[in-house]
Parts: sequence; structure tokens; C-alpha cells
Amino acid sequence: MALGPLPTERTGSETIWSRYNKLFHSPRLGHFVYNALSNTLFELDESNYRCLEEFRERATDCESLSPEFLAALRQNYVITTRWEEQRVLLSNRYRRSTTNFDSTRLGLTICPTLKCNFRCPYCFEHTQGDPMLMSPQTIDRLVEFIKGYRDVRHLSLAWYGGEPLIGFDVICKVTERLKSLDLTFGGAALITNGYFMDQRKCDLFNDLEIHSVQVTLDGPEEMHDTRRFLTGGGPSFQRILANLDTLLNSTFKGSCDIRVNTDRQNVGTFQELRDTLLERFKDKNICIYAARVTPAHDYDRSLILNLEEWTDFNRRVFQSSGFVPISNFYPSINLDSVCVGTAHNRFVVGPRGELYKCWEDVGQPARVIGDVHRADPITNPELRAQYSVGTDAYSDPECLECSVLPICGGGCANKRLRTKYFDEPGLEYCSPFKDNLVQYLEAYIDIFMNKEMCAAILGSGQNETNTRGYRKISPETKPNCAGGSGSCSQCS
Amino acid sequence: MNKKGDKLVRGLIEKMRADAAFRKRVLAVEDIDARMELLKKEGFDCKVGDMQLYLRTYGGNEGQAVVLTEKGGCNGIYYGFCF
Repeated sequence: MALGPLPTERTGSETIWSRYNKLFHSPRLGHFVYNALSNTLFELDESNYRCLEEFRERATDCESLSPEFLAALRQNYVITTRWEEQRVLLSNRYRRSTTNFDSTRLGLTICPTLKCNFRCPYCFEHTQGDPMLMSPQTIDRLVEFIKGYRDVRHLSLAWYGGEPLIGFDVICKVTERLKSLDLTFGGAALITNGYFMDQRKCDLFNDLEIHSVQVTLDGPEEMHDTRRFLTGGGPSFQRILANLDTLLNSTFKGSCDIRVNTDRQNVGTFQELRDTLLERFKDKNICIYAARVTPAHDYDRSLILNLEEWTDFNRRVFQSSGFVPISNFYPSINLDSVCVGTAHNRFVVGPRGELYKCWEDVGQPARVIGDVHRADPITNPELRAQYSVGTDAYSDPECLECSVLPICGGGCANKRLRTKYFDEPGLEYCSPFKDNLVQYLEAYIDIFMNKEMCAAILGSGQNETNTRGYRKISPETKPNCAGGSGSCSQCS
Repeated sequence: MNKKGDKLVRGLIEKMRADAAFRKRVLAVEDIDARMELLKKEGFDCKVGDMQLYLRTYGGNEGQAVVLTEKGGCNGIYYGFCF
């Protein structure tokens, strides 16, 4: 459907079937309508389903629908007007802009070094041999760079690399300096391969206000060691596992996330690894999750799982073990694609003080957007703007016609940028919901109905029946939640 | 989780969903012990513990990790890779 000229209150007043609807029937689960603009899901009886089908096909009047049902559909933009849709989209766009240009927060991803002791073949970096550590002079300049953001009241960090624990002294020095600033220090996440995570370091994590540690394991020992090996080829699995023991038995108060970079090579071993880790670390504060490997450099692209295969994998894992993917099955209203790349006050800082807009750009001179050593640190404002406003899906005609725009927001800014501006082929930047929305919703409905039925059997014996011919079954959202606050079930 | 208990509860839930008359009959029994007894007679010899474990396992609450929105500066993207 072409958008045409923007609707006005007068020209856009005709009642329509929303372009953001998905009306679907699942033989096992029933009849449903989902609207991406309100992120609402209704379960329907067959009669109401047929009425909506009719309305969708012929834009007939809504007389066959009960006034109450019609009001619910209107309230959730299933039946709406182009004028109303336009207003909500503008509101979403405004929300994206205010988040992107929030001047009170500064988020830095700092690489103490780009050096890495691993040579994972799928890694998007290619500077693992660079031995440079962030110097005291660069640390001084970094502190001045932060002080230059006078409106900033809140600072948060992620330690990244290379392997950041190679530069552990830098982490200690920078943290000490930043904690003395007149800012709310929101702590830090640490992204490490885990190889150098010894007792001494683990004992210091609380003082360094590291609230979460992410370690990657790519499968059981044999699989992991074929993918995440040392420079020169040595294994790493057993040492990482021992270091995880050290971390989880230390005084560390934060969480530990174990990431499994997943592609065709190791997709079949995820559950075995997960079962092993859950047994070994039962009662510990860990989260194990799979993440899709995406194309990088000369890594064999035939190993990459496409979005459909990725969806299937997540569903299969849930069906066999109850494990829900980290991004959940139900679309989240905070998926508005605000990230380091798009946000004005978020940067990745390299060991030389060079600034980037994305983790995946680290070590690439052409993607440097600034330098903390310069009086005016932003040296490539054009690239920064391309990342921020140039990747805005609300300016992309193709996205404006997409039925999942409100829950996607444009997908990955880095891959969109590389595709749209640098003509790089073969990158997927869209949300998996674009082509697999029903599969994700079905998985959510399965969970919803499992819970409901178990609760009914275990409870008073009553369960909510769909006597009105429709009911809203999407997760509850707190009133006025703009997403991303973590305070309601859709964004926590 | 216990594979046998898992399979039983899964079968029960499928039956409860698909068979309205069966669902009505089961849920009409107010006392939980009597309800479990009825289920046993219907071939679903599952324990309350099995049901609770199933609910915990398949209730959709597992696998939540820390979102870096407030903590690490990355919103909607986990640790450098889009999900």
C-alpha cells in the first residue's frame, strides 16, 4: 500500500483496516488479530474472526461487530483512520528522537585495548594483534571529553575490546577517575572471553561497579574449542569454565550472562551446553542465551542462520526445554532501534582515544567519527549523522510501508548504514518479526495458554473464558510506559 | 525437568485446550485433590508438583538477561550483537 500524501484530519478520516494488523488462524491455538501500532493481541472466536476477515477484504461497515468489540478495536488501532495512524507514528518517531538526543545521559563503551588472545573465525574485528593499551594521556583526555558534556548527569559504561581484561589496569584507573566526577555513575558491564578472569580480578569487580559480566561459550568443550581458540590454536573451554567457577563463587554481586554465538556449525549443541551449565551453576545468578552470528569479513556465509531458521531454532528450543529467547517471543515496544549507533551521547572509545558509533566498527579507520585528543572531538559529524538520523526508518519509504515498523523501528543501524550508504550486499537489518511475526506470536500464545491452563487446574478450577467472543491476551503494559523503562512486562 | 512428568502435563494441557467438554468437567471440580483424582482416572496421573514445575519451566520467565538500557548504554542491543 503506497502511503501517498500525508493524511490530514479531513482527508484521513475514513475508517480503515490498519496496515499494521495481522489477522491469523492457528489450527492448534485458535483465531487472533495483532496490531503492531498498539502492540496488542486479541484472541477471537470464529465469528468475530470472519467479520474482521470480511472487513479487511471489503472494507464493509462494522455493523456486525458489537459496539464494545468495535470500541476495543478502535482503541487499539485495529480499525482506525490514516490520520490516527499517522499521529501515532509521529509520536513513536518523537519518542525515538527524544531518546536519541537525551543530553542528560552519556553511555560509553570503552576498549582498553583491541588486542585479543582469541582468534574466533566469525569475529567482526580484525585488529586482535594490535598490542596498544590505552595510555595515561588518553585516559586524561577521555575524562576531559566526559567533562565536556555539561548537561550529562548519568554515566554508564561497558568494557569491551579486543579482550578488555588484557587491559585490566586501564579499567581500574579509568573507573577510579570517573567515579570521582560529579555524575551518577551507573556502573559498567564487562564483555570478556573469560580467559583472564582470575580470583584477583573477580574480587575487584564490585569495587569497579561492574554489575554484569558476559562470557561467551560456543558449545560443549569440543565444539567451543573449534570456534573460540587461542592465538596459535590452543583450547579455552576448560579454563573459562574454571574461571566461571571462580567468578560465581567470589563475592561478585552482579549477574553473569553466558552468550552462545550461534550459527549452523553449533546450533545443534546449544541445549547440551545449556543443560551442562545449569547443572554446574544451579542456584547461581546466571543467564544463558543464544545470539545469532551475523556476516563478518571472510567468515563462511553459508554457516549463518537466516531469520527464518533463527525463529525455528528459538521455537524448537522452547518446545523442548521451555527456554525463552533473550528478546522474548512477544514483540517489545522498546525495540525502537535506539542504540549506541543512533544515540547522540553514546560512543565506543578505542585505546587511542578514537571514537566510533558502533561496536562492530571498532578498529576500522574509515568508521572513526572522532578523537578525544582533539579540542573538537567529533571529526566526522557526517558519519555520526548518518548513523543517527540517516538510519531513521521513519524516513525510509520502504519501512513506512512495512507492517511491523512500529515494533521494529528500523532494525540494526550498523547493517542498515552499510547497506544503504556503503552498498554492502547481503546484510539483514530488518527485525525477525518482518517475515516471522506469526511464528513469534504463536510461541507467545502457547506460553500464555500454558500458564492459564496450569493456573486453572491448580487454582480454583475457573479459567477466564472467552464469552464475549474476543479478549485481549497481550502482556500488560503500565499506563504511559514509553518503553525501555524496565518497569512493565513488555519492556522488562 | 522430569521427562515423564513433562510429557504428561503437556498431554493434559493439550487435551484441556482442545476438548471443551473435558475442560469443563475438570474445572467444575472445585477441590484440587478431587480434581487431580479425576485427572488420574482420565489417564493423566500427574502430581501438583509436576504441574508447578511445568509452569515454571514453560511459563516464559526464563532466559531474561540484563538489558543494558540503564546500565551499559546499549538499548535494544545486547552486548554488541543485535538479537
